[in-house]
Amino acid sequence: MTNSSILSSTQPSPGRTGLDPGSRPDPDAEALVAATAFGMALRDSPEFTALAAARAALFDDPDAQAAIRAIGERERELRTEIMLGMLSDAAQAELEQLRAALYEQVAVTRYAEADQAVRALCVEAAAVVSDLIGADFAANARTGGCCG
Amino acid sequence: MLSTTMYEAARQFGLALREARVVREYRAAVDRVESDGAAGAILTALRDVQGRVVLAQREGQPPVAADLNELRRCQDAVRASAPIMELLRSQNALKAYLPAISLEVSGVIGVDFAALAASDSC
Repeated sequence: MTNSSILSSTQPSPGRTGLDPGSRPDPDAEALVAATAFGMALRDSPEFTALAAARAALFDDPDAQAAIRAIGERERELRTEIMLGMLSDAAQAELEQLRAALYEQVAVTRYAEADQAVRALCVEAAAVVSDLIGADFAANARTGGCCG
Repeated sequence: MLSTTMYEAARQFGLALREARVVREYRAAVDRVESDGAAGAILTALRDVQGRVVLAQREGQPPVAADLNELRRCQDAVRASAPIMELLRSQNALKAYLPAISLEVSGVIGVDFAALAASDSC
């Protein structure tokens, strides 16, 4: 490797940093930098911080974990009936009871509330971006199907 | 309601994104179609006939022949319209580009940002 290639390979990309006074920043690279900065702002927001705390509390709560396991196991046992829409009234009632028990757990409701707050934050932030670019950011950026 | 910090972060992101080549080309294509009366009329006619055909299908009725002919006529007109074809091409480019940008955000927050941001739409 020549000295010049060593130098060029260790120089910061002008587009990503905007430090090279001889060239204009590359807008595509600037967009990536802005995406990272935006992600950091989201990550550091009170909503994401609260979600991380709620998640940790949920994992540390044995009663909540037991309630999650109980409904998960029963849903697995009944997955064929659920898939075919053939749940009996008794099984339906049992699942509803298990779900009610799950949402009686404070750690679960706090996690659900924190999750909802994060989703609302992302929806609102994406709306600001969509207005500026003239296209629905979330709809165009999704790679999976609805809820996928 | 976004906090000032979060609003400003989203605004800076949007401002940078609108300068990206793919987004600029998309916006220019939208402007061209909007300022082209013929292209606008083709798209309006296409949407109208598509609406009628979908409605007929939902009601279990076959589409009427006049609507099918109109649909074919609109589709031919779309293919013959340079501004509309450019809009379609730029829309496809946007759909290929924005997931990569969103992935950058997702990498920082550790979850799929686009999926979260679209979570009120389904």
